Amino acid sequence: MTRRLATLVLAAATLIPSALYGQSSIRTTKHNLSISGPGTVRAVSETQICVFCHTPHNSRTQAPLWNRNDSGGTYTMYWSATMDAYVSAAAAPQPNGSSKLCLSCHDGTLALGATVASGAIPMSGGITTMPSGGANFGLDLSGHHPVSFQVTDLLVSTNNSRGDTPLKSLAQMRASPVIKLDVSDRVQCTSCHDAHKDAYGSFLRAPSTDTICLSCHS
Amino acid sequence: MPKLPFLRLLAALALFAAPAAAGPTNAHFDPTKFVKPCSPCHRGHGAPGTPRLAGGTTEFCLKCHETASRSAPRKAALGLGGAANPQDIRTEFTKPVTHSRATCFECHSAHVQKVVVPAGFQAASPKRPLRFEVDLCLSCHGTRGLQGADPHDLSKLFVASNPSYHPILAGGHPAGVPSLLAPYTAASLMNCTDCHTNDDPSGPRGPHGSRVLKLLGRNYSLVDGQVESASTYALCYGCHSRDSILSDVSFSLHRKHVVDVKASCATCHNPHGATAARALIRFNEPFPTSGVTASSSGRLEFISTSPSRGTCYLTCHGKNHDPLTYGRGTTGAARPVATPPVGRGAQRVAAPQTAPLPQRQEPRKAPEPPKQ
Repeated sequence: MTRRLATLVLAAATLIPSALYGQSSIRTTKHNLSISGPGTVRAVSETQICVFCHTPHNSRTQAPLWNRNDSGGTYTMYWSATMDAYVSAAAAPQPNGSSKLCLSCHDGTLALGATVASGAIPMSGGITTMPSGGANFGLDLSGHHPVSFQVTDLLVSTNNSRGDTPLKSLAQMRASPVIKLDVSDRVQCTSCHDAHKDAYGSFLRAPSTDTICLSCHS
Repeated sequence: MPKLPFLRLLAALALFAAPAAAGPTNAHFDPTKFVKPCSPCHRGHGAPGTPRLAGGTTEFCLKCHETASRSAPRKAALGLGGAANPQDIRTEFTKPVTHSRATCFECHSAHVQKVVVPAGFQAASPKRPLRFEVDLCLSCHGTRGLQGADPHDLSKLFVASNPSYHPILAGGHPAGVPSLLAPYTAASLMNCTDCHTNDDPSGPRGPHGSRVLKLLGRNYSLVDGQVESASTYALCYGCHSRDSILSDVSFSLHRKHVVDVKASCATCHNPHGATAARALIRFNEPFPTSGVTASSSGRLEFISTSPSRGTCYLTCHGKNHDPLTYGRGTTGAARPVATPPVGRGAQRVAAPQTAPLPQRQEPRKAPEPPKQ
């Protein structure tokens, strides 16, 4: 009973802001992994929506009320000769911050139902880890937009000294109404995606991917 | 030279300002062609090792770069604007001679700004971070003269310490070239793609494919026995006056060889350069030449210290040259000395757009792409 109440509070906390802004609820997105979820990946019987990521008690500290363990994988990160944030693919920072949270499902190594506080939640169809496909990135992120590097004024000016594919200023990125750098000015999955809202498809923060790109690139 | 920094500044300004004002920029940045600036090519999560592209192969580029992609429905499906007119590269790769062993990405940076330079100046590399086109070509076709033993190292044929070379890396041959057509001068520089390019002048420029051997932009017969005509050696005659050559201005027996005996230009000349003879003569090179063999005394050599006179030891078209000498004076016993040409390395700059650039000592100044 207590657990259900807590879940309701948590759900309300998540849903109310969504409702205020008139945006879609997580309930109708693929990130609703409960039995009521609209996607093919969902639980056999679990009705709680938030429990797959959040728990009110006995949570972990990576994120608010976090209910998953981190993946232990080592990732191959994106790099190119025009990438100034780090000098080589090997020198790239491994995913950190909120990107680690996303990868705990999306790298395909941990079971989707593997929670910290509630144990293993069985998924329908015998699914355990993320089914192969576009949402299962694996550990090779070399074709993915780099994440977990910090944007600085120096990074922007170094890149822009090349003369092509310029970046907007750090101040412009911070002030963007579309994308979100994290508290340390790092690019994360959450810069482009909002795991709780899927108004535009792929949990993107804008209806057009170009709009998202052009929030940092110009 | 207190004025030099000022002149340099002027030159730098010309370089910065010119491309934006003059030549076309990269069509990939044209908002009438790329109405969606990023998503026709990029996605958030792409093929491994690519800058978030749907694929990392040549085929990915050819999806747009073919004639079929010029139709309105196809353009809409590709996310291109109505003004998009993609160059048909797919057709180039179906020609008898192609560069298709290289991927697009090995030569092209999709975001690099196009810098258009007039004839006689060095073209910018279409691939970053290389600065000049020749640097790009030699990154595969040469080792910049450092690996002299490799016969496939084209760069050693172009280095300025050679007695003769086509002016790819350095210009200004001291003896001059009497057959040069305007606007070219001994100080002109040229680019690999001046010769190695599409044989269809209305198609996309560059060494993607050609119907002419060696991926050449104009006809150039490499074998002997061809009747001389303006088209037989159209490639050479694009810069070197046919009238001058056939009236024996530089070599008194040009007409005899080219017209009467039907020898190809390539039989005597290595068009890239010669490490041991003037006038691009190939007989002294360490690796085999085109069907010309040693003379009866076992020598295969061209000895010449100046234009209009020289001596050949060789056997060609059944005739023993052991030696045969042309021009006035002696047979020239001394081997040519590689004297430095004037102004070497001084012209490795993009073209001036408004005024001639001052001579520069720093040889590798790049044509900067325009800021956006």
